[in-house]
Amino acid sequence: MSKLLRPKPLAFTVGILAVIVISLVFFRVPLPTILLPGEAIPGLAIGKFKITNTFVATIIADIVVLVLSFLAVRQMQDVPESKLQNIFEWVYEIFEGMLTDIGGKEKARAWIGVFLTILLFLLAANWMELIPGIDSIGVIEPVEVAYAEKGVNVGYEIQHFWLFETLTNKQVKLTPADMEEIEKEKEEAESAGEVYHPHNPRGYVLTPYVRAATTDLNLTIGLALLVVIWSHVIGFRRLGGKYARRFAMPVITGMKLVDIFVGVLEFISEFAKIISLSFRLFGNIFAGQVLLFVMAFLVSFLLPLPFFGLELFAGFMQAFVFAILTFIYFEQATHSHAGDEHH
Amino acid sequence: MVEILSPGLAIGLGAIGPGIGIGLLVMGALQAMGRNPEVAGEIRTNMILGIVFAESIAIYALVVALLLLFVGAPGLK
Amino acid sequence: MAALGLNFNYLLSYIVNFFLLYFLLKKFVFPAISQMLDDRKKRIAEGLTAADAARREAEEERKKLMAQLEAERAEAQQRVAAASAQAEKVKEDILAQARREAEAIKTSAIEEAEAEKQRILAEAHKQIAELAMLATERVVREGLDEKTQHKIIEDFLSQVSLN
Repeated sequence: MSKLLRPKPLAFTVGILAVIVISLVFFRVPLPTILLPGEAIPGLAIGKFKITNTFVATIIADIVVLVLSFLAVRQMQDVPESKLQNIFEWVYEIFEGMLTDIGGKEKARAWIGVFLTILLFLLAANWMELIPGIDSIGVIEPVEVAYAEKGVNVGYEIQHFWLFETLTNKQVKLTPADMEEIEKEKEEAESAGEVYHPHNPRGYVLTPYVRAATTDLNLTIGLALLVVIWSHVIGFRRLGGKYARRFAMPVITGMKLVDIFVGVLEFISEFAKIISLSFRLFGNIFAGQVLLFVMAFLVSFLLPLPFFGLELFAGFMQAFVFAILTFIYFEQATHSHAGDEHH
Repeated sequence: MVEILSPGLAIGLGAIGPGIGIGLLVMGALQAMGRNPEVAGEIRTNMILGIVFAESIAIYALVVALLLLFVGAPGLK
Repeated sequence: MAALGLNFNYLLSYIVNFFLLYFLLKKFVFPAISQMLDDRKKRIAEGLTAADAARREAEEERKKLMAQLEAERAEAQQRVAAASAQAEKVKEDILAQARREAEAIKTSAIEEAEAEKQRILAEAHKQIAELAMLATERVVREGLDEKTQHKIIEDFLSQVSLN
């Protein structure tokens, strides 16, 4: 306690407390609308294909990865002067070594492309949630429209700030009576062939232009599906008929009960792979984003800072885990059973 | 009430097991690293993989919780 | 499923998107990096081998030079030894010569002195004889009494001793 009373630590503590109090009193931020699906950005669509903010983030992540990697290999030098080339070579070497440890040189060389593509893409996609303000720039629309389309029932009041409109932290909750009214109005508008738009909006919600791509289940499930199916294709290509054996044990060994059980388990484990791969990535990043939202909602300054560090780590870890599991699945698929041949 | 409680219970109870499991796993890995630091890299990779597999149990709980939260349990509405 | 946001179109678009990314990176980026790394590895290996060879060569060169140097040194030593032996011999010769000469000079000096002595002795004998003759003549001429005889002899002897 006496240590805290010295001038420097005391000033530090008081400063932190002051910042927290100021942010609690003057800088309350609204809790963003937490939605599981990627949110379609209003007024942005190619034909029937509504562009969601996670899709935008995916494109941005693609561009970031492509631009960085092309810059890195644009002028390859034997003695690299560009840091980017150095970093890429370093990453390549480290992970090639790691994959060689797991699956041997030949397999590491064959699949490091997939590994690094997944790693880099997911890194860019995961870390996008950490860009400050990325969730607060978007399109503001009436909460009624959001309720009718996505079931959002909490809006915020709006204020004008120079040229922009911003949400305040004053919540507007839709009551059940409001909801019924909205549904009725929407039906009327649709039967009249119009786009539903409330005359006097109760509140507003914000749809950000960009939301971290991996908080969309479509991306993670798509990637997991792709990876698992790809592993089967590779297994079948390398091992041929032998590969089918592990799923069809009973057919070959003569319908023993245990073999049927093993075959079914192998089958289930393939689905478990897809579920755990996709939901691990999605769950971690989505939960991380919600965590950052909630921390900023509680105290807008200072408090979110350590969680940014945590999410930086988690984002890397999830990208790495997804990539290394992909490699391991590939490796397992081409790994014939010990009895079949000697290694 | 049940709608609010059930997702919370699903993820909360489902996280207990993996929590203990990951703790034990990391304990073992760290002891192994302390005993022979020359294979620390290999142990670390395997530790991360082990954590990932333990974590996937929690992921199943998360899936259930999310389903309960956003889709709703059948028969409850 | 729709509540979870699952939508086949989006799913497909993400898969296609990933494939595109994979294709581009696989086609243009990874081979470049991999080739660069391989090239560099090869060049480093070559450089190391070359350096090794150069070092070995230098070592051999050094050994050869050392051997040559050693041989030259030995030769020089031999030469110095020979020279000093010769010098010793010359010194001995000179010394012997000098000794011999000194001996000769000494011998000749002694001989000369002896000869002189003999010559002087002979001279003395001759003079004594002459004096004796002279004395005898005088004695014979004066006639000899005892006293005179003694006086003459004493004179003569004093003369002789005086001489």
